Amino acid sequence: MASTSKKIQSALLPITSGAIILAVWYLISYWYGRSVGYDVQRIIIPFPHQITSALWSEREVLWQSTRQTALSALIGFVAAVSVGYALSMLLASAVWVKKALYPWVLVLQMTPVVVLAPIFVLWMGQGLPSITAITFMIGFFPVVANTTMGLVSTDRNLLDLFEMSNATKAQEILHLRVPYAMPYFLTGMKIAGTLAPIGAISGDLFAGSSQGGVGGIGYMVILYNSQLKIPELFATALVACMLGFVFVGCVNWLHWYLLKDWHDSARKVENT
Amino acid sequence: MKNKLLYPLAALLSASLLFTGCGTEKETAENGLIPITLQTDWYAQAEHGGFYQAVVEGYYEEVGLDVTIQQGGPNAMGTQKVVSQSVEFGIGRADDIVVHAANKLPLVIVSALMQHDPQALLVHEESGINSFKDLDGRTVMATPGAAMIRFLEKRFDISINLVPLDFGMSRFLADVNFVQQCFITNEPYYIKKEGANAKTLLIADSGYDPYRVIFTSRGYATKNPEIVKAFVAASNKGWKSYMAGPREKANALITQLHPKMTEEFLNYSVKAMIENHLIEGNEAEDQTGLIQPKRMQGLIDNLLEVGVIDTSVDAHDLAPTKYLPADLQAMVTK
Repeated sequence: MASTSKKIQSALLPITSGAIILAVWYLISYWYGRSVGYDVQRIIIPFPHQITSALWSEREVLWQSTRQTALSALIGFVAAVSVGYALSMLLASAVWVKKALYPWVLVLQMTPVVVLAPIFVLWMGQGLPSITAITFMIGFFPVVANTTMGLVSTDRNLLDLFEMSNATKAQEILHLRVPYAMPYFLTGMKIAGTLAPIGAISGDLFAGSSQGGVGGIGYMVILYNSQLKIPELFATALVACMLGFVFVGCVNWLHWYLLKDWHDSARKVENT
Repeated sequence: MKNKLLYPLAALLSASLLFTGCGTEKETAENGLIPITLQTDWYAQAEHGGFYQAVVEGYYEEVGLDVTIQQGGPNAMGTQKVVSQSVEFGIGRADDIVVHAANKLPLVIVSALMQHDPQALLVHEESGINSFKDLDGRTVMATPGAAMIRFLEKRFDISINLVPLDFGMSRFLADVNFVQQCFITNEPYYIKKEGANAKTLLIADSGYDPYRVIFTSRGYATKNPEIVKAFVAASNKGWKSYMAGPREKANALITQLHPKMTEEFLNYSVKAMIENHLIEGNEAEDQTGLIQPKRMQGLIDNLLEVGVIDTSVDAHDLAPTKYLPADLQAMVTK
């Protein structure tokens, strides 16, 4: 069967390249350790097994940090999606509203969140409110931009059809514009979902604290770095990466779940 | 279809060749001087004055060194740079170096920079904080993981909610209950300018009084003991000269490098260093640069006792006195 061998091949390729990357990593670490000493190598480019053992020995701290960051990411994400959706509805409600507000939405979007972060901390203090605000700011605009685009680009013919059938404005929005914009909105949501863990970690870099024992992932980055616990820092990167995958995985599932029964992009079989 | 595999491999190979070409060694410059880099912990300021004095007065050139002072900042990462030998010397608190040494980082302290560290906690008069004990349960903005905070917590049996230092003053000014790490030579100047009522708790007054030090990597010190000695001697001369004055030339260089450092501000910092005997110490004799192994061992024992480190470090090994100028070596108590 050609398809099974294809499947094996597509599974084998990333495993092989992963093994090569790992081998190259070991070689570089080893070569570096040979030239400057292994005490130095450990804090510049640790061996992969030093990273996994750091991950194991710090597992409790990192688990708590991850939970804290995941919570900030989730709250920020939900806020970004719901507020973003509401604002899009407002923007799409009338042409003049969009004309009046959309440029200012863009202005806010263009302002890098890292510049706003210290201001948020000044206003809301250290901790969850600031971190979620930073996450919110990062995820909010993709939702607004995509959803608004979806709401205003409804098929002209369908709009005419609704008009011919004497549909009210509310009916038009509820039964036509909103479903039509759904894939756009969900695309925005997917982008926000990818950005939320990044937002929560950058938020934590600015607004994290040791409240309650350990901080979030961003705080641990600062802490490990200042203590020169570099294998632990690499382990933190690994954990952050896994959190990103889990988060994006959940959002992608939601995307599929909401579209699976009707939208072409999520359907496997053609209608017959 | 061999090309399919060949191209990526060729690209990988050429990329790795590019990287190997990057590691250029610096040995001696064409002027016969040995190039040395000192990584400071912050932008140019009076707390680095002696090094700039040694540059402008030519003390480093006299001993055959071409010293570059690399300004630090929030991400100076001096320890990392020294350990990986991308710079030769760094400066920092002795207790942080002890913690790194306990973690087996090959560092050597070659000289004291200050007999007493200027690090303090800045509090508002209205905060009701009068001693380190009063910090229990408070939020303090400081360097996360710094040995001194962990020491304070353990020594006074208090729990501090630490927020990472953002190197700004705005939050302190906005909140009377805000506490942050500062240099007594530095931040109080701004606070006075802004009209707030603040006072400082000097960490050294808590009975915990580490040196501020100059350090290098073990490998570099072993290979180049003469260069280390020359650097220490010239820096020492620079510091004595800077503290005695005149320091106009060095201050002009600092202002040029870091325009926020006005003449008035630099004078404030120097005055604070003199008043608190930070550089030369409280003894009758001028101790600028001196490391007493006994005092160093006392610090190590302190850190061990409260559990900031869990393996002891030998003070003679971490801070050997052999790199000090002869007059300072004579002052070492056995």
